[in-house]
Amino acid sequence: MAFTIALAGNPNSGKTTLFNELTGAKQHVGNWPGVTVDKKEGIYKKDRETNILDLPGTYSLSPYSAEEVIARDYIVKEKPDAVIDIVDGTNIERNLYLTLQIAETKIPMVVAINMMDEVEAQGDNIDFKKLSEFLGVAVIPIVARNGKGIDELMDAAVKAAKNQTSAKKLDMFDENILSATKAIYEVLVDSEVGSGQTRAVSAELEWKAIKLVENDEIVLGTISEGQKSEIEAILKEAEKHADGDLEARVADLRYKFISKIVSQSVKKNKTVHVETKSDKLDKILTNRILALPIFAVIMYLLFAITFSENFLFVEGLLSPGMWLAGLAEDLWAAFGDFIGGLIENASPMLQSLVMDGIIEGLGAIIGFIPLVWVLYILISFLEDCGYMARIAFVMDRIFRRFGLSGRSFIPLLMGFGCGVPAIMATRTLDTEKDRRITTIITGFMPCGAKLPIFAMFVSTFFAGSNKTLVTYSLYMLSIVVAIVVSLLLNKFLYKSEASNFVMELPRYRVPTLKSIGIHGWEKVKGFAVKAGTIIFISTILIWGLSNFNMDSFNGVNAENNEDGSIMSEMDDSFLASIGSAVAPVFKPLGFGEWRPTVGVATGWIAKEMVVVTMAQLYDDDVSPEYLEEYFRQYDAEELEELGFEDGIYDEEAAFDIYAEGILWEGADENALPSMKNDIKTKAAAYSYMVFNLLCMPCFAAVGATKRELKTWSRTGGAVGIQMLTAYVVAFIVYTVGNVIS
Amino acid sequence: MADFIIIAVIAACVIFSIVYSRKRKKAGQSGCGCGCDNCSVSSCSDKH
Repeated sequence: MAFTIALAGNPNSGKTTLFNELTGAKQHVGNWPGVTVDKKEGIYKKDRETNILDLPGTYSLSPYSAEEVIARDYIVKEKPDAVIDIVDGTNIERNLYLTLQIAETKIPMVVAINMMDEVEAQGDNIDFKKLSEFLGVAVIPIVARNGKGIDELMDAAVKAAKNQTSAKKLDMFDENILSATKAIYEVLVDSEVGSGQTRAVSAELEWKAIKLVENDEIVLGTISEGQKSEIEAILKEAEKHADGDLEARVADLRYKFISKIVSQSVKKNKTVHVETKSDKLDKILTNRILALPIFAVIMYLLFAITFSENFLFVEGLLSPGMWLAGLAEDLWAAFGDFIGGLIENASPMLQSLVMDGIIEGLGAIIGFIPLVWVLYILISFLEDCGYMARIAFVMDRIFRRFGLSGRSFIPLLMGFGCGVPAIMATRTLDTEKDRRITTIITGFMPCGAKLPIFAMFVSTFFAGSNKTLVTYSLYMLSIVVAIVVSLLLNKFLYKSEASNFVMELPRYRVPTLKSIGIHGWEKVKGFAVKAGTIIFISTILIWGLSNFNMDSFNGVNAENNEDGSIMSEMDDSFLASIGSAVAPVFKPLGFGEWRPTVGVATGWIAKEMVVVTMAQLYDDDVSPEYLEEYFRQYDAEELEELGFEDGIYDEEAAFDIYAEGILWEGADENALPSMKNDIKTKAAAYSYMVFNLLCMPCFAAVGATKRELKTWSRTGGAVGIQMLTAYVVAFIVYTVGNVIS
Repeated sequence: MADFIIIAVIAACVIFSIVYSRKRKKAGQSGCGCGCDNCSVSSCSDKH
């Protein structure tokens, strides 16, 4: 029989880790609350008929944020066959609050006590049998990270779904609350009868009655005006007998009940609870004075490991990222040579399409994949060990001054990977204002796809400088611009105070290889899919638009070209005409030529396309004629040192040797002449990188922005702010850069 | 002949990449990669 089993629990209790274990999926997990913002579905790998649903984390069934509403709506309205309530065993009291609320829904459930390895390491002892007796449902100890106990858990969950085993009626409320609940229940039942429904005892109405005692606005919105006035009278009467307001009283009684359960079923090792290793580390890493400098140093180390050519301060020692990038480029070059050999008998036009269009275009990003992979794995390490959650806490002090809470920093950090999930993560924020501002400023973050743009331009224009530092400066600039724009938006558009920031700091954990592997795989797969689909097709389109014009089809080109080809000069192509019309807009930024303009526009398809487009449009800069001329200055011994076999110039090997040995090192002062003719100075190159960093993100991210901001007018406004910011900052960079240089 | 084979291979690759994108989109994944596989995005520009 087919069952649907939902995984519910507090944020950061390990639901997605368990989901991945059960389904074999590779969903993003992280050591901070709020990683999952939407429900995700998978199939239990040991029983293909059982569906598993991963819900966003929630502290209670009285939701405060958008993703908590998703979790509650699913449990209450869509009613899975069973719920596995995942409880963080190291923080059992707080987690049981949600357990009691799920128990109140009377949906079949099983309780999984997760992180038992940490519970045992703390010396705590949980009596699962007693806990199970209290709740009336199975309680299973598990360690989701290594799969321990999950078979028993799934057996219990399927059994609960089959037998419809829900929690027993828990004796936690006082007489006053019980009678109010009963009276409201009667009102709800009467109206069900009136509308022709059965008068059978309904678990859902019982749950609704409790929620109405708690003054739940969502449930309140589902009842009629007549019911509302009757219920208000009941609540008024109950309030008279309660010490405070009823909502607080209900919560208080639940916590008292939890204390009773915990005192009888959990034995805590009191000596360990004085100061944990996490507490000791936090004293340094979240220290008022040291926290930000430590964060800056850690981020710099991240970039050094990815980009440095003098790794660990050893001259000429490549960082792992650079070494892998070189390897990928070599492999792609060998592949290109192989394809070139295969098609040497084809017509020149098709050779141009394959070699200059597809191979050149895709090759432009292949070499950058390892850099993105290494950087992303390192950022994932920081996420999984729990450090990123601390940074949100540390940044709260700064963000508060600009009208945002530290929680907004989490989507920004996610934006270092990809803008789409980062924008989706803004729904974890508490206020509409925070959500809107953070959605806009997340677009400024240097996602993995922007990295190739920086790598290409830094190696071309800043070869003699500290390349790591130049790249690092762009990342820091994105954060500074995000802060300044949020300040301006807060001051002029959304005038209100910052919301309070309450976030549970997770324990520091050593990330598992599996979870780091998932992060790395996600990134590489995303790149590969993009390269094989949208970038592949775009390379063909760009090749077509940059090699043909109207004269290609009326016979003029065929007549004028000596070889009878219908192809046009690139400067007369369709793309040149379109780019030239828009290019003057970018003159004040230092790159008002058609090729860089087209690069900016294709970047909106996918940011990697900037590099792909530039590689295709500046192809003539590394033509065989240029390379032959360039290498003529070297004698045989020098050519051998550069990598030519026996010191003999070889046209086949020349491009790779030039790209890796000369261009990357900045050894050719006259390199890429037409590119340097379009982007003349370092200031203009930096301005180009800044514009691409801050302007409208790719269409996928704009789609995500529309979903979060709800309307096209707000989305248009957000894009307008991003474009204006990019233009202004790039203009300042170019102007100041020119003055300095 | 070589030209014909090249055109056929490129056409096959283009068709495959369009079909693959549509298949991913139907499966609720990002249709064009978008740099974030499994990010619950069913399309590059819209969802649901």
